[in-house]
Amino acid sequence: MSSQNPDQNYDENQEAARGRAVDARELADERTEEVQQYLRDLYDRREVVTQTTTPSGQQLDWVPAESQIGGARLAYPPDEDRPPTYRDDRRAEAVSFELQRTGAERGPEGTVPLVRKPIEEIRPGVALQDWLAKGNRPKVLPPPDAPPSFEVPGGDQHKYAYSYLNVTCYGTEGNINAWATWVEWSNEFSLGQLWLTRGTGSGHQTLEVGHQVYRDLYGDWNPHLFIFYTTNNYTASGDNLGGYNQDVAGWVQYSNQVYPEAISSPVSVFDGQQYELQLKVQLWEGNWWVRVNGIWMGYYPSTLYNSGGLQSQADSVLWGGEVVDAGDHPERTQTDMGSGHWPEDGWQKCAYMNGLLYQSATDGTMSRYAATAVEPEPLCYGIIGHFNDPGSWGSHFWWGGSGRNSGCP
Amino acid sequence: MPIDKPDVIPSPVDPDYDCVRVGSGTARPPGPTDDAAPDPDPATTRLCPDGYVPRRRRATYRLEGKQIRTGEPPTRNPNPKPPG
Repeated sequence: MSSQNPDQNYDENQEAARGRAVDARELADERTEEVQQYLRDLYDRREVVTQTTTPSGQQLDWVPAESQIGGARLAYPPDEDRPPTYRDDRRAEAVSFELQRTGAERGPEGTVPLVRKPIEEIRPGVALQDWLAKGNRPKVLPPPDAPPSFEVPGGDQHKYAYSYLNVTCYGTEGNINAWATWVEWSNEFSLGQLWLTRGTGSGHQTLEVGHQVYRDLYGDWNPHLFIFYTTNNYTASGDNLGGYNQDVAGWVQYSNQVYPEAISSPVSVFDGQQYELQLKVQLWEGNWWVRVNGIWMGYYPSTLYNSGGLQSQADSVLWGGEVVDAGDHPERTQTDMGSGHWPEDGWQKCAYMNGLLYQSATDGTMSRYAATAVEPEPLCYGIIGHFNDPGSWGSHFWWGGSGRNSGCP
Repeated sequence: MPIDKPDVIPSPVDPDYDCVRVGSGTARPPGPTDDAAPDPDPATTRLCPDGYVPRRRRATYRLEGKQIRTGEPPTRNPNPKPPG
C-alpha cells in the first residue's frame, strides 16, 4: 500500500487554490480593463471642444455637430423650434431639462452635448458566463392580446398598459404626463413612451422615445428623457444595431439644450401642478427627427433601418407604459407605472397621455390616433382610452398602476 | 528578433469581442488575491490569448431587449414607495 505525505497534499491543494484565485483575479481585471478600454476608445473618437458638468453632476462632452457623422453635412429639421403648447383647461407645464435653465453652462455655438459616463461607476458584469450566454435568454413574446405587429422583448418580465394603431404612418406626436415614478429595484424600469414600428420576425424595427426611471442604466432613481431603437427585434444591440440613447452609434444630436438621458424636472405633484413631455417624431428628408417640448433634439438616419422596416415608413404607432419585473425576487414587483395610481382616479392623480396624433402623409398631415387600448393585467397596470374625445385633449388615455397589490398578488 | 504582435485581433471565442494587446502597464495591482472569488474554468471563459485583454464590441453593459444586465445583484430603492 502506497502512502502519500499529507503535507504534500496540503501544499498541492494550496497551490491549486492560489492558481484559481489568480485566474479569477485576472478575469476581474480583464473585465475592468475591457470596459475602460471601450470607454477610452469611445471618448477618444470624440472631437471634444469643451466639457461641462450639469448641476446634477452629468458630465457632457461638447463636440462639433458635424463630427458625429464624420464631417458630413448635418441634416436640418422640418421646421423651426416652436414653444410648447398648453391647454387652458387642466393646464400642465412642460418639463424642463438642466441645459434649459437660466445660466446653464453650454458649449460654444455649433457644438452639441454628448453624455460622458464616469468610468469608475460603470460596473462590468461579474459572471462571465452571463456575458457569453447570448443564446439562452427568454424567448421574445408579445403580450397575449398584443397586435400581431407588436413584438416585445423579454417575455413576461415586461408589463404593459398601452395603446396601438396599425396604420401606415410617417410620425406621431403627443404629450406624456411626467411623474417621478417609483421603481422598486435597480434592475427594473418603468417608462411611458411612444413606439413607431415596422417589420416582422427578426426584422421587426422600432424607434422609441419617452420618459424612464432605470437605476442600472442612469445611476440614479430620477426620470430621464430616453430614446431607443432596434433594427433586429431586440436580438442584438450595438453600433447601428440598436440600443439606448447615445450609448451606441446611430443617433445624431442636433440640439444644444435637450439631449437623450437628460434628467427631467420638475415632475407632476399628486393633486398639484402637472408637467408633461411634449413629443413629436417625423420622418423628414430621410431622417426620423425627434422633437421634445418644441425643440428638435436630433434624428435617427433612416438608413439605420431596412426597406422592410422603418426605412421609409412605419406601420404601427403605439403609446403606453411599460414596467420590467426583473423576476429575481420571490414576489411580484411593486414598481409603479405612471404615477402609481389608477386610470379611474383621473386628473392630477393618474398619469395621462393626450393630444395623440399620427402623421398620415409625407407632407406632414396629422390624423387622429384612433387607437385600441390593451391591458394584459388590469389589476396590476391599467389603461382607459378616450381616443375619439372631441375636447381639447383630443385622443387621450389614462394609464398606470401600482404593481403588486391584493388584486395583483 | 522580436515578433510584432498585432494591436487588435478578434477573440477566438466570441465574435462580440476584440482582443487588445496590453503592455506591462496592465499588470495586476499588488496585494493579496481574492480567495472568495468564483472559480472560473479557463478553458471556457478565456476570451483572449495571453498578452491581450478583451474589448467588447458592443456597449459597456450587456443589453437583452431593453434590459441592462450588469451581472451584479440588484439594489432595492432606498426611497419608500409613495402612498397609493
